[in-house]
Amino acid sequence: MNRKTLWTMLCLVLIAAFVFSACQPPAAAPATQPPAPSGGQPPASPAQMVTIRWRTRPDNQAEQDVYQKINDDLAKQLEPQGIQLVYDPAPVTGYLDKLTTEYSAGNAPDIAWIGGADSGNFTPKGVLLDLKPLADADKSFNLGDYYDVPIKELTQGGHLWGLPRDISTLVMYYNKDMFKAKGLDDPADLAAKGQWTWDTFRKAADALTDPAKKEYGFSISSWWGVWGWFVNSGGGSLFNADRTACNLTDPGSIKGLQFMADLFLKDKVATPPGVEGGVGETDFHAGKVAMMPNGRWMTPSVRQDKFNWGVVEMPTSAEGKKSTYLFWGAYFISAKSKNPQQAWTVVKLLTSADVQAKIAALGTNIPSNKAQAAVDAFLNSKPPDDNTPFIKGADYAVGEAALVTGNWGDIGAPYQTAMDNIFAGKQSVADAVKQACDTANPLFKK
Amino acid sequence: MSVQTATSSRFRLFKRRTPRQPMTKAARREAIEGYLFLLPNFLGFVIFFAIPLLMSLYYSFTDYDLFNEPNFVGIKNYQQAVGFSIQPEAYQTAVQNNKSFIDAVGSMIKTNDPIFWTSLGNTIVYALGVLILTVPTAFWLAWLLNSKVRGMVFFRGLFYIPVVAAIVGVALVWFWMFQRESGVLNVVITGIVNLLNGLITPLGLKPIVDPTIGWLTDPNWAMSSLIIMRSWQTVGYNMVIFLAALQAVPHMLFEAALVDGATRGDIRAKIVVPLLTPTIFFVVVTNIINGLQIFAEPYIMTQGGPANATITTVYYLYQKGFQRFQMGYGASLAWIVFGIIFAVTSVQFRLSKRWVYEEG
Repeated sequence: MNRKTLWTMLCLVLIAAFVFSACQPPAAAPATQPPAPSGGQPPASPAQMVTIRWRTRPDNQAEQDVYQKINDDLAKQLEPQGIQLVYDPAPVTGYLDKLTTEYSAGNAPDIAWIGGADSGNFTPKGVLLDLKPLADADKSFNLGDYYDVPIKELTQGGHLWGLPRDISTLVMYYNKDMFKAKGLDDPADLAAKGQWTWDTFRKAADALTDPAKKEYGFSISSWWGVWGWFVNSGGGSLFNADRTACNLTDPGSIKGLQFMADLFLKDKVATPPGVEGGVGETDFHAGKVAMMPNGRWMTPSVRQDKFNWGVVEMPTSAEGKKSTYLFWGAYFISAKSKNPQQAWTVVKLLTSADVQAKIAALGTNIPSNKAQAAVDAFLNSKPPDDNTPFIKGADYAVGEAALVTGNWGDIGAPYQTAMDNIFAGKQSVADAVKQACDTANPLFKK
Repeated sequence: MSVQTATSSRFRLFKRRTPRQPMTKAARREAIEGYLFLLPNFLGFVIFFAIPLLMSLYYSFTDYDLFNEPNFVGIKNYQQAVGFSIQPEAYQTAVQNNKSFIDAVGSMIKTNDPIFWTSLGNTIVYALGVLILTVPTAFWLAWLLNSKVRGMVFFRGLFYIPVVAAIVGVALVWFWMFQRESGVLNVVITGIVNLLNGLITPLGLKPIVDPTIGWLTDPNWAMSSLIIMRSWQTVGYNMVIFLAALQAVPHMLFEAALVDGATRGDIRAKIVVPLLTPTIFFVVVTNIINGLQIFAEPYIMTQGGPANATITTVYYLYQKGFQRFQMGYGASLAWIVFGIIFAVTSVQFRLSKRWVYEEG
């Protein structure tokens, strides 16, 4: 065989390799392997087993390990029912982009977690299964087991798009050591006496600010969950009642945002907000910022900090209005799932009080199931010493909106631009919100 | 008309082709082998480039949202991106509100998608900023490193290291360096300010205020921060190109110039730079093309903010296509960007005839 023939054959082999590799069926290999069959009940035969792949977005390895353990425990429970459970976590970065691509390609996991605000972009697209028929046919299922706020968002239009995995209210994390060093009253004590208001909060922030030491009373990450609280607390809202228009120009919204702007620009008790994504937390963890509003998901990282800290409900407005946000995420079943009934069984289990109690022990989020066992598991997950501010806020919180009357990415963009301009002092609150509403209003579906 | 006239080249309608000689067996086999060598690459090109390219062109004329069947909408996406209307009443309102003439004229033009135009402006600023910062610096570095001094190889490698670093890692490192309170840049600036204040305040002078720049949080600085970062990363690449070109300049020209009494500055300006114009042209064109396609930096570091200060066209089309489920519109933006880059590059090639020296 001469050299030319050899090279020709090599080329043909290479071409064949390209062609055959491109023609392979999509890899269905799970990210994690299911556990070996346990003793007790004999497993269902291989012909009867169906694989349910489910996904969450763990923030760190510890959280992923918890979900993997839950997967292993539930897998043993589900095996006799013919369900092979596979946990397929995805990283935080690009989580939704990956999921979007998979929904488009038709190979998304059977069950996926999606955050509340983002879920509104998916529900009108026909990629998520309406669970209402399954729920109605299931006599063991009770929608009342879950908090009302996320259920209200998930049942828009008479559907049931998913089951809430967990919730989190917005609370004020505070550095107890900084308060003590300045001889200030603990915010929790003030809240207990009904004296934790905009006014006392502002005074505390002022007293805790020392620019020479680069210490500040207050800090935020610049995302809608935080500046949205100022809007709600002032008596306004992000949208009108039927969510078909921007409501930032409402006098209550402007009042709340003006209070926020004054903290940054007039009183200078706050560091300019970090870029969305938690950068604003850096200064709090460094012990340079006394107070920071955030959700429960910040607790695991604050537990690593070297100072004494606590949480308190958000301050009451001048009119005595209590306000906070209730953030939530839910498990959704893919409309193209080959085994919707089995996926429904798994989703119910994942959102059961027992499983939610195990996750609550990690400290990341609050169970969406109102059962006392789940609530107690959360309350006992310490520090902080007192977890009740998270729970109390659920009674009066404004829910994270799953906006189906428009794309939240498109509508939220001019809102965020307005806030960025306010923080930078480039526009007055009135001008900024007017521009935001002028841009956003045509984007709502009427 | 004589046969000779009829067959002369001026009257020939079709170019006479020389009769094709039949291929020998060996020549045919060689040709087949050649095509087989090309085939894998060609298949890859067709499957992973040509077909997706044509599909994106098709989708740009539809309302494709990634999940449902696309519906043809004609040029609606393109109209949405670049369309605008003139509103004379807005000019009157602006004048009544004491706006400047330019602001008043600007208020008359109502674009269908203001964010697209903002992103285009940001992209152009970025491309030009990186170009201005990178090219002269790279040329100067190459000039310095084009000397047979001990240790130059080490410095050449040192300046090239950022080029091979992954953009994600680079972005994350600069992200922390740009932190307002604890970032390295502001810590150094604060140190310098404190040092200077320590010197001038005893003299009774007013102390300097620490600027504490919000590199990524201040809309006035955010794009500059990305330009600085990108320039740092690409200067090494351009330096290597200039270095190779400098080393190709014949030394006898330098010697002849020195004999004629030329200074080093004359040599650089009148001999080296003209001879390097093809290289400068290449560097300018490639830097502009790369600059107009910026995506990774705003995606990782700023998500287009603050206040759309760093939103670029490619990042915007990615947002529209993959995050807001408007793939048809995103595809149309991609083709508009292609058209702009093509037009800019064509203009550069045309202008190059005036200033690029070509031998022969």
